[in-house]
Amino acid sequence: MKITKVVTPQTPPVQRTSGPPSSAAFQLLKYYMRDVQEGIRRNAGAALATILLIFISLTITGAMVLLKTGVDDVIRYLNDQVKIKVFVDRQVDTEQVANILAGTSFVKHVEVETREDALTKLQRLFRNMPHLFESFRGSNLPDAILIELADQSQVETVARELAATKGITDVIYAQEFAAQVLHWSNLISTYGGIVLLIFLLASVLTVGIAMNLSLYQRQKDIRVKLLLGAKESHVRGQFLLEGVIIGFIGSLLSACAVYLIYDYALYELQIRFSAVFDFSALSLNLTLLGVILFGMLIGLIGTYLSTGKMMKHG
Amino acid sequence: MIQMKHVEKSYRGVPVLTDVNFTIEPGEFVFLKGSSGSGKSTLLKILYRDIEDYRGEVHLNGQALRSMPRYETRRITGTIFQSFELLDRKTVYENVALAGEVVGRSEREIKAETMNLLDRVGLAGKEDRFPHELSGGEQQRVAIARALLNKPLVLLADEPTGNLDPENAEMILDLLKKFNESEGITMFIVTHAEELTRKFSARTLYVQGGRIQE
Repeated sequence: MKITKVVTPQTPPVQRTSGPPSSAAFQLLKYYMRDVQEGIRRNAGAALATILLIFISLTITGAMVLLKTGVDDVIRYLNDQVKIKVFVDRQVDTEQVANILAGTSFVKHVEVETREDALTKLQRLFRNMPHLFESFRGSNLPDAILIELADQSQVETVARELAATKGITDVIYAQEFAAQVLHWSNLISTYGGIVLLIFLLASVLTVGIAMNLSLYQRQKDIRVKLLLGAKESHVRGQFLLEGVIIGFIGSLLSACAVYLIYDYALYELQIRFSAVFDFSALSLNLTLLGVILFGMLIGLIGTYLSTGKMMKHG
Repeated sequence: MIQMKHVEKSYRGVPVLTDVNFTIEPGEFVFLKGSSGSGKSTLLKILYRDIEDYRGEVHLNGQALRSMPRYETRRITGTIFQSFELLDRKTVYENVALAGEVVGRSEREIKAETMNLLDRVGLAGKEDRFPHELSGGEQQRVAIARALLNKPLVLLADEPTGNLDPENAEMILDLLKKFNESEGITMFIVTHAEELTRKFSARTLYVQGGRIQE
């Protein structure tokens, strides 16, 4: 066998990238953004399905968070109602009566509502009608005693007995249904959370499935990129970015929907029942921000899970 | 440039490579021949890190292969294949430019280098074509331009002429020889085209029974 050995002079190692590392990183980011765009376009069906599910899940989540705030307001309002409110004669010391009542077996908790406390509540009640509140400000509001009973079913009996007691001028107590509403509100809060969790898990899974589909369609692209010297983390990063963008689009749409729900439904409730509902701008903004961040997180987690295999076998 | 010492590889207990030892000096043009299933491609896959679970030592450019990150190995080794491995949705220009993009080179630099290489492989004016609009020989030339864009020290070719007619096959080997001589790039070419390689005065390694013979 004839062996011919051809040896040519070795060329010095070449500079493979130009500019500082930050410049290369910027170039990479630019290329990846372009590839992310192409990836979403090529995988439009799966991307749309994912966006839709994230939109549905987060719209429900956001709406439930706002409703929960509303339910909390209702609960607080009803809590006030299930208590028995007792007005005492001005000649009698309110604190002394409160102490006596606190010592009885049928009472769980007693608190004194001063004139100032009452005015604060009225101010909230009439915040859209300040002229009405002003008329109360000058009036001679009496102190009151709020009684929470050990057994709510005894409200009527206890209220009757208190009304007949000397020195007590008036007794106000809630209807029986108020306690029932409280009970059901608590149940809805608990099971609503479970439903919410199921929706969010479904969103993460859908993102994962969409990304798996995308990975499958782009197996050759990924292989070629890795063969050309792309870092595994960069290739994975591109998919993570894609997941975050899909999550962002879905959650941005959700945030818009949640805002519309607030604007058309909850804000109306607040106007009509200002004594009950108190949606603050801060809680609304925090909910919207939370929805968007959560959507991006869903995209990130879903993609991270689906690309894990690629990192091992890329 | 390339050194293998006591390399062994088996698939499910069946040995494919047994105590492989050889050295390729910088700038050499080397053919690797052997019958089908003899382990030629396996050997090449070890070099471009598609196979990591083997025994023995492999050095590339004086550095142990296992001690460098996979992406670094692939940046100093260009690879071309029988199936070309071009991306169908990208144009000729985009396919070649991709090599520069994945390592973060600037657009300007990539453009200048891509156009230069396409000119040198005889594809000037065809940069906007898609792979399916090119002949097999032209597609392989695109793959060569892509493999050379980042100025690798070694070019590994796995049956680069396997899908080509004799005329195009010779043209491809001529092109590789030209780059070897002008740039000093070490060429390691797996082939079983006996007649074709006789035309080139090059060192030839044979894989037989899992061992290397010269």
